[in-house]
Amino acid sequence: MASDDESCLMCHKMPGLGRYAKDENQNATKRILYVNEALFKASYHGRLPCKSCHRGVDEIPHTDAEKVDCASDCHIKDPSSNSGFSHRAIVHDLSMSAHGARQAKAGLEDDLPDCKYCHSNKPYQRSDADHRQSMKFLNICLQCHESEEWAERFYKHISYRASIRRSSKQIVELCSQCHADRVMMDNHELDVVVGFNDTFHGKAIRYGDAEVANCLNCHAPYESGFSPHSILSQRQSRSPVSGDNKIETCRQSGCHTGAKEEFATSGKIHPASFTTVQMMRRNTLNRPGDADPETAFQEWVLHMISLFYKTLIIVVVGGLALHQVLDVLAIRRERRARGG
Amino acid sequence: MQRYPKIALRNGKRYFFRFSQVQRIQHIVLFSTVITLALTGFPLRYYDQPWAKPLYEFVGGIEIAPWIHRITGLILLGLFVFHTGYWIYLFFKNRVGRLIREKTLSVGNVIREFFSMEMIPNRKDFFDLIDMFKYLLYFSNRRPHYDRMSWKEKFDYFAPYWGIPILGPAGAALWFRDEITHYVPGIVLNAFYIMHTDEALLAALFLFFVHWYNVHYSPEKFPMATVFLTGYLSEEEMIHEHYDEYERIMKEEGLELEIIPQNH
Repeated sequence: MASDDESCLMCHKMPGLGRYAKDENQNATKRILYVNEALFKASYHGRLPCKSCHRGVDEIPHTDAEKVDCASDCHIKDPSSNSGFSHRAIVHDLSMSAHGARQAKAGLEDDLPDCKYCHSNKPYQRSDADHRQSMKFLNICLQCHESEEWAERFYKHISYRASIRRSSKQIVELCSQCHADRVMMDNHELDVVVGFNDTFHGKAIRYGDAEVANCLNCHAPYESGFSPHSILSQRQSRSPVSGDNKIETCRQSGCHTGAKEEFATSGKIHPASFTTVQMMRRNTLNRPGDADPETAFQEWVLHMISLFYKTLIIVVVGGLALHQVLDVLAIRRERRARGG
Repeated sequence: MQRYPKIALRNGKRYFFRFSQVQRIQHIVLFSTVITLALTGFPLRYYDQPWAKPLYEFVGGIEIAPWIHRITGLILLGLFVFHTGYWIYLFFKNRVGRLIREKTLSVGNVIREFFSMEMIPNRKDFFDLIDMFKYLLYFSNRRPHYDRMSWKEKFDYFAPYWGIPILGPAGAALWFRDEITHYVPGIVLNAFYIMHTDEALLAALFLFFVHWYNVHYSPEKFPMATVFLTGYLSEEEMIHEHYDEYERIMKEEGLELEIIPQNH
């Protein structure tokens, strides 16, 4: 086991180490302060000293602890520039995006996701088959590089970023934690995303299609220079799902490459079902910019088609099913009359 | 001898001709494709139901089921085209041909012949429908005497024959969704999606509750009417369901004295 230069584990290796703390609402929350050394060593940050992120903590008890700030300078060097490494650029991107805390209304900043909301410093994990594959590859690295531990970590660093770590299903679940929460979206004056599962994209993801677009493919397409950290509001003109940009997003390589401009003019891509829209119209769809008469007309036409079929089904199938029930009674009547 | 005698005798019982071999084959293709399309389509419409995922996995899952659906849809469209050609061929061969032979060919006569075809709804169907409900609701004691095709059978026939020209093009547009937007606005795709699934739901409910009652669940047919396999209907069924035609054929075949009254 690697040496614990800072002696943090002297205490924090004890399972059961923890305390109850009061949060802003004076509710007691349990804080587990135990660190599983094996898990931590296997994680993305496993090579960093604790104090890289946990600043202060020179006194015991740690009354001088600072809040962890992912934008601070790490004590490791970025090999590409030889200067101190930091997540500052990405933290900056996030703060400028729709998810940046500065976008929130006063008092609602805590609703917005911070780094830890999506990134949990997971351990590197591989299936056995993947593991054997990587061991084969590592032999190539070890032809020149001496340290197996170093080579393995370097290899994982690259290969974990080369493959998609969250499945489409997990991404939809992650975004839905907030964007499907009606109360939270109302507070932020945003539309609740309830219609995505009804789209072909949503259905294909549900049935395990890995190729079809999830939230990030349209709201943060790498091809157009976006990343999950730089998602913009649909109302901003630079957004990949705003106005004229929409069709370019649909036409990304591997998607609707043959589509014409008209393809992206079909109103909302994942609308709420009509009844839901009616129920919510007061809250969410009456904002300036949303009261588009053309879209409203289109929605009305679609609703009318749907209503036509509902009526037809009820009248035709209902009427004839009634006929069948009466027919059973009539046949019984005839059989009785015949005495059979 | 005729290929299909109007009355066939088996074990001393009379059986009346209804469907030729080519018609029976069309029916088999129709129900096989419709059932396949329903099994590969409805799990997508009802994705949030507990049965949807196991059923979809069973019919091939997200990789294979859509292709089964598309190819089966093409077969059904092919059947639609074949059937349309088939009745147009029969119409010209039997009816327009007769008009030519009798030298009475005119636009009016052709239109009259068209509307007297056995599948076209007519005035009698309307009154039969009213009479049937009178009978079912105890206002009368007599089942209507249906001719060769009753209004029920015409319903059964036009349900799919109407449905396919809507389902097929709408399905094809959703299949070629990129290309179709070169000609129509994207909102049409949303409309096609509603039409495709709602029309399919109408068809499926109709087949399940109406058609399958007529040929499976009805106390007179249970467990299964056999006419779709044999092409012939028993005398008892003819008396019950097609009395006008029964009388007519018996007279044509010189069996007038053996006609059995309906409420025997």
